[in-house]
Amino acid sequence: MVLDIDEKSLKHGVLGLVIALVEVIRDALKLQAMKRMEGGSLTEEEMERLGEALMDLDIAIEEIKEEQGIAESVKSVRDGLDEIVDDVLDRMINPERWKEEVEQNT
Amino acid sequence: MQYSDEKEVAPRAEAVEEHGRYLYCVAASGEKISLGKIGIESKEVYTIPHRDICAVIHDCPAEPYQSDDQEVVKAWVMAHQKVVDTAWERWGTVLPLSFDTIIKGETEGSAQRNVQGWLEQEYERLKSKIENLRGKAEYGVQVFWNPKVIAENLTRTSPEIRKLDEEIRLKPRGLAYMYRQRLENLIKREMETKADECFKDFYSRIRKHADDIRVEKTKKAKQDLQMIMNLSCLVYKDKYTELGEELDKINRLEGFSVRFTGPWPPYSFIEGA
Amino acid sequence: MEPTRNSHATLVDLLDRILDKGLVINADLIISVAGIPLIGVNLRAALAGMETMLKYGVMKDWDERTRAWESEHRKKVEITAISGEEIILEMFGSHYYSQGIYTAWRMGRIYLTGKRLILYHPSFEEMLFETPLEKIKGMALERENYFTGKERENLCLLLESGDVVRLHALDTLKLKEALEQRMSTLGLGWEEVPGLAAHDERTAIFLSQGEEVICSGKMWYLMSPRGIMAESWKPGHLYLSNKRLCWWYDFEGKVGFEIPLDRIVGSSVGTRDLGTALKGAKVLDVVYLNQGGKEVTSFSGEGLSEWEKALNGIASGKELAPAFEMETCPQCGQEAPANELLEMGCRYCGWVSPRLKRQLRQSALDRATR
Repeated sequence: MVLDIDEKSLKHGVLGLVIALVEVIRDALKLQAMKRMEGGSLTEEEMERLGEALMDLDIAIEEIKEEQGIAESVKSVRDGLDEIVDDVLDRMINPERWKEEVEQNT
Repeated sequence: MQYSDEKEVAPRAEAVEEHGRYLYCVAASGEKISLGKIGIESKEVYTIPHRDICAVIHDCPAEPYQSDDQEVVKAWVMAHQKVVDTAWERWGTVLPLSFDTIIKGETEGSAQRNVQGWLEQEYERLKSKIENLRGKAEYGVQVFWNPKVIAENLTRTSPEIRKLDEEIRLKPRGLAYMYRQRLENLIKREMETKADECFKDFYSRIRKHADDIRVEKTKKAKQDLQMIMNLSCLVYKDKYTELGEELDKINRLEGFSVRFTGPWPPYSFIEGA
Repeated sequence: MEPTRNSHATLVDLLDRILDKGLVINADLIISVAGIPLIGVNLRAALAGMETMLKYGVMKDWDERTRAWESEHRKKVEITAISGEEIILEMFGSHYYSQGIYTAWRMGRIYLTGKRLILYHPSFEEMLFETPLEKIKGMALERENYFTGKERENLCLLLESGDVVRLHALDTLKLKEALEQRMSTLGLGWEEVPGLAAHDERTAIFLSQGEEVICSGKMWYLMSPRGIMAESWKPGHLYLSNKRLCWWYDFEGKVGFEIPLDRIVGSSVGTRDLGTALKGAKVLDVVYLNQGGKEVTSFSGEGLSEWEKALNGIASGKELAPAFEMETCPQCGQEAPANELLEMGCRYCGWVSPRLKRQLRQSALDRATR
């Protein structure tokens, strides 16, 4: 495997990877925030501040991607990560199951 | 005695030995014939028959076709398909093989014997498959939806979602963000339920027009579309119009689109046949 | 609906079948491809547009093409928020936002239209800042030491509502001139308010009518126990105005402590151990009158002796100590009174302002030529 590394590509590669991971972490944070919100353990004021902070984080990430021109690279990385996860899950979940269900009912 | 008009015979062009037999498909015919130089790299394609079936092959070196050049590989794949199509058109039913299936042989002529031997051994099984697939073709059916459109519809029709949507407009920025997230989660859950329902509905409708169906993995779709269903359908060649009409109905539903491809030789249904 | 198969669009469908499916033959009869067959993988990946990290070069071209398209496309996108208004000037800019739990410069595009000044983020269609031109009552240019180490020029605007807005643009001077020109054309008046820069968002919120800040600075405050929270030091800003001493709590975005001037009894600077990590830190204790009698509140930060002097001056009824503004040294970030920094340089890192440097150089030259 020949890796064609030059400065710009490295930026796309490394920075793209970093931002993709930041997005994944941000998503995990959002998930936690939602869990706490649904669990009722946050006051309105706390929710307000949390929401604002998350929103600003969203904007900051978008701005970095825009200024560095790496939006597509980041998407590539995330799609790639998704594919890997999908592959693993696929071995556990069988779409044939739906087919069997319908065949049984018809 | 040498005659002056006797020419020097050129050395044989086959510098590379061709101990392998590239196998395209098995066809429902006992004809022993050459189909011409329609194969990969313009090789001559011919048949090795056994009783009323035959193997469609070309001679090649005993090693797989590999290349880093995508255009080259594309050309090979298209040639492969062309050969299978030709056999299909000529003889009506074929059992296609994967690209790059090469029967090996250690010595000259042994690959040929291997193919022959395999046809003899597998005759019953191959013949049975051919009969099961006679007159049928494979069609690809992919159903997509536009999540935005579907979500909008759900927002309109679900009172719970509508209520939450209105509440959000009155809230300050941070709270609005949090509640919007809750709304998105809610919509996502409802969409998953809807995807499930649609799948079952469409599947049962399509099932009526197909002899057999294989559920394939959904793939990444372009832009704002999401693939919710990917099927390979085995249909009688003259029945595909009915399937087409059913797909038309689905295609006309708001937010949905259908991709109907084919006819393909029955790649997906051989092992089940 | 008619099925299709003979187009580029269906190549992927063909590949899915031709590479993975079909009749299976016993393995001992065929020549197998050692390892993972890359033929199908590469071809399919390329056709499906799913470049992997294996091909950096390809991705780079793709990304650049996308970026070029995007920047081209963006110019053509009409901002619906201001359709119909004439755009006099537009440039990249940012707005200093300090209302959240942290402060930041928020970026976007500045538009000076015939009627308004706007900071807009086109990608999110979010209006970050907006004011009709007639609401602008005062302007000032401010030099700021930006965290990158460079100095930047900011435009401060005083609005009719009393709010002070801080903007930065790619060419701040040009923006100010264009703004002034437009406002003149519209017959609107405004004032040059040089002191505007010193006026910050916090004071805008809590200062009352006629109240003026005399001195201010970053200061830690010893917050008394609250609920389950023990006594702890909190970061914020201390302000001495002509009416009160108050401390602004950043995290909550509001005044956390205040006492009217006439209740201040006195203050003193001492050293204390603040927790296990900080030993011998300087602390300013302020004694004041409360319902029950005398009480003490504690602060910690820079310039405590100046604060002590100012507060004691107030307590003894003398004239208020000369105003001092705490500034941060652009080189090392340490706080010190502004005039000290400008006239003597930073006592921590030795930074000296350009003007002072010139002065010193000049006097050194003068001495040498004598």
